[in-house]
Amino acid sequence: MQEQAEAAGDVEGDPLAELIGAGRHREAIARCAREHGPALGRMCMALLGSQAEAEEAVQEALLAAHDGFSGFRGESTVRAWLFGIARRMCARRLEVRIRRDRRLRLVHDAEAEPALPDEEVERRRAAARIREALEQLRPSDREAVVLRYQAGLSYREIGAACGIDEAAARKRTSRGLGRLRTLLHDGELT
Amino acid sequence: MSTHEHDEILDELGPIVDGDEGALERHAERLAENDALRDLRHEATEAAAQVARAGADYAPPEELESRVLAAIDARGGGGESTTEAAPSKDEVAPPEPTTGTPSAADRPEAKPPKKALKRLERIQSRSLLIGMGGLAAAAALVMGLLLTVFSGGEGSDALAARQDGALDARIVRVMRAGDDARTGVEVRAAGSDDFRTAAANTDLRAGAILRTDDRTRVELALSDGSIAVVDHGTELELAASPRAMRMRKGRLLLEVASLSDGPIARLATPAGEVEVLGTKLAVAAADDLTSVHVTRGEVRIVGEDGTAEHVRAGQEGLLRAGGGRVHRPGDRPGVGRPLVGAR
Repeated sequence: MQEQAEAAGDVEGDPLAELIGAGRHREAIARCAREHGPALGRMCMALLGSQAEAEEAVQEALLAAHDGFSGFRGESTVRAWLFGIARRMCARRLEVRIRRDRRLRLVHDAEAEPALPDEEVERRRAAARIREALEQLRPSDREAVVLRYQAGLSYREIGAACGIDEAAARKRTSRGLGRLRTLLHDGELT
Repeated sequence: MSTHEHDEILDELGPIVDGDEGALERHAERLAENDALRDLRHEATEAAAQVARAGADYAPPEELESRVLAAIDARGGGGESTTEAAPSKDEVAPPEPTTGTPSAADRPEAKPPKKALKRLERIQSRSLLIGMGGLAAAAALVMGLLLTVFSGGEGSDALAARQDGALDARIVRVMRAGDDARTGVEVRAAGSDDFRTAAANTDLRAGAILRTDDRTRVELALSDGSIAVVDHGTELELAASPRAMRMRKGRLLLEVASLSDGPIARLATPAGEVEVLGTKLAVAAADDLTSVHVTRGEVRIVGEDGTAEHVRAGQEGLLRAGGGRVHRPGDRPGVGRPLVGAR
């Protein structure tokens, strides 16, 4: 009951929630794209590791959100709701990728990296390394960790995005973070 | 410290790293007395900081908002949910009083980052389709086409999507080498026998055929939110079936809008068919050979004999008329990769 009241407080005064509630869905989705598109993309990138796939996942998530506006009840923030949709899009893509990689025979691989400034190369390497570590977490823990420390969601928002309660969100995040620490610091990264 | 105590710490590691006062209070004594726990907290804090960088190499597309709106239109949603009436044109993304941010319709087309253009310039010197007769010089083509796509243009509102899913198009720009008075682009409407001269802002309906002469390129905005750049000497038909086009000859760059539940975009050529599963590709077609170079996403090429193959970003697939697919294994590895990140 208290959580619902707190969530209602989060939504109250949220211009996006007001647009959705007023049925101004086109404005709402345009605003979602502007305000949350980059952050959604970074989260999708963290989970998928592919610029193209992340872009498409964001677009699909926004389209799905638009379709679901009429069902949005304001039980969580619009942000948490969007991240929850994007999380499911990423999960679906990862499943498809697993099946596809077993099936596909490549024509040839594109191996050459474009010439990039050193700092860009380093940024990509660092991002790739942490994604490699994240891949070794349990999917549910990985998502919780990414939503908390990459996307900056509160535990309540993580709960809303993952369909669990706040305490479970806290525990998933903590366990995932503990495992990640082991991978990164104890050399368990394979 | 017992295993139970250790587990209690692990279960609250997140809040501890976050500096949550309640969690710190509960574990203050253990943290103060146990070096290993303090190290654990320190390392976990570092790990959390690294997670923040896990998506740092994502480059947000500048046109996301307009793409989403175009995709909504293309699905026939009219911009509102299916339970509501479609909005009028005036209702489309009016200015936001709280932010002052212009709507997609008001905003000029996104300009490419300078870095992206520099990358594209580096690609210009690479040969894409060596020794392919009529398909030669496609590297310069791809460069030119991509620059065309990303250099913006006059801009226009998205076309309304058709109920039957077939593609309409609008000529956004006509680019002609030379300063004569001709436009160099002609359109034959569906059911007509005559080609007529066309110019920018001309709308093409499904069934129309567009052709360019040897000095003219055309940028098209398609009704599903996709962009097509039609190169010199190309003949392109907007087919009557959903999201389908037919290229009889010439070269084409496509940036296909991703529709989660829409039909797959298809491009037929004399040598087979390209099913676009991803988003960006260059296609060159002659009578006997079609080259498909994927720069982002994935396509499926289907030969006349019905055999199919997936071609992914950075790869090139060839379709030969009369059956039999030809691939060029690894002769120019990575040629598409820089384009993938160019946006």
